[in-house]
Amino acid sequence: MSTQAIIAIGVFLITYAFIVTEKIHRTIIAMAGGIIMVLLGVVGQERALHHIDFNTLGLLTGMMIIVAITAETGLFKYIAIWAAKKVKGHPLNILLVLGVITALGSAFLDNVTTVLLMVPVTFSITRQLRVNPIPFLITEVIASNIGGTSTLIGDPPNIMLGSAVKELTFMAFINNLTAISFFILLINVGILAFIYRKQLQTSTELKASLMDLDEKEEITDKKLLTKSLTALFLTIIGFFLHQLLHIETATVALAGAFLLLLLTGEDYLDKSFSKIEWTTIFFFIGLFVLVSGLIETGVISLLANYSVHLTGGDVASTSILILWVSAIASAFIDNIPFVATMIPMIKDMGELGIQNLEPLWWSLSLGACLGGNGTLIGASANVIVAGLAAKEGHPITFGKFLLIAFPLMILSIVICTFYIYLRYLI
Amino acid sequence: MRVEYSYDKKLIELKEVLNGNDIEFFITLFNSDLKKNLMKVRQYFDDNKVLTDIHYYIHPNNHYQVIVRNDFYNEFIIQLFTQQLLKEIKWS
Repeated sequence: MSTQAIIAIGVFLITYAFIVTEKIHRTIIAMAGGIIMVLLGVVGQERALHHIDFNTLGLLTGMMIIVAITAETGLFKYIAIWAAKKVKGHPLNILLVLGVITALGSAFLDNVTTVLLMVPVTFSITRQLRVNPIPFLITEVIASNIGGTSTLIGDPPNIMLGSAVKELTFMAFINNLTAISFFILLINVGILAFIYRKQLQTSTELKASLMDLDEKEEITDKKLLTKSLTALFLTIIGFFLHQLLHIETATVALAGAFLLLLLTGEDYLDKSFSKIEWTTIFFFIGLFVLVSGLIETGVISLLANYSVHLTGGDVASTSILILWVSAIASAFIDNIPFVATMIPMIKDMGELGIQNLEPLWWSLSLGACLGGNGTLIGASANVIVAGLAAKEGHPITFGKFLLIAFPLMILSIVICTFYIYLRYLI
Repeated sequence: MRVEYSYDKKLIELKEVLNGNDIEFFITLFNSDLKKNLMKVRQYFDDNKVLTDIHYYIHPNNHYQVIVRNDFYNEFIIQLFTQQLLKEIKWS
């Protein structure tokens, strides 16, 4: 192993350790790690820029602009109240429908954005019904991570996979992950409803008060809603057709975002740009450069070689190993850097002789996305919701979440193991 | 210290009751033009970082229900006054 490779491993591990401890913001650490890789000459600036996946960044940015403008219309409050009324204001059924709505939202929007839209309306509905909001918040967190698993644009690991591997198109994700994700969602939400059924009781008067709400009044700007829904609809159609049209997903998302800005005018330009999560964008940039150091020095190839040696190059064992290692790792560490490291490793496994990489990619996606449900720190949505809940006087402790969510995550991965085995390996 | 208030009964009806530790307001607007004023009160609380300061519910026929957290009572009343939904407020 070369000196440069040893330096790359050192910088990578120190950066990773700082990300895990969360003492300093992860974006600062990732960018610092990436810059150190360049400063120490592990990777040159040109090569580092080459490794930054601008498709991932463009897709994230475009979707953030669309969501920022759509959120102004009151659409998400409308949907939540409408759904709560459809189930006659019964708290247990509201838990189920809010879980499903969160999952559907997360399938097409960023998980953090979805929970940020759902949490205020959840507090509002639960306060009116005088029920504990925590079961709803935990359900939404879990549903968000599962829903995000189901599409290419639902969760950053999938966005990265879709960008890095040409064969993993939007439709490929739909064909391979959507059905299994929604099966897992129904199992998870059903179990959560069973666990919390006794806590979710309210009076007939409070239910009647909820049923009397006028959800149509929640739509604050009908013209803006029409424009937002048009842009969102065209963007989603674009995702379905991107392979056929030979355009990247980032082009679709950015086209949708700037079409919407064209329709709304520059009033929304500054506002929507201010809502882009630049910290997330730069976190990705730092990670891409950081991992480029490992790729350029041959460390990733060595790891791939070792993994292939460990499993004897057998697709079945390698897939199951990737699924479980990804899930357990993602329960405790950020799944974005993990996937950023795994993608080049799996590509190298292909070069080392594993012919069929498809089950490996889906195993990585399922493990990394669903693993985030294992602990309170497993995914960004978990951390955000726990922070908001604590601030509002409803703390979700690490232990309380672990007790509920970790067994559910293990159950989900067991289901995925059968799915991967039955669909791809026999 | 809490505030007392008065309002124009031709334009608005306002009833407050205790709801647990919070205060629940039932507001009826007799003039639809005032909806935008009440909307601005909601927007004021939506724009801050607190999610449970007030819960705002819209019922049909210009009826509104607002559950106000105890520690935001004065601020809510002041916002109603700022938006000219109250005629006067004074420290009690």
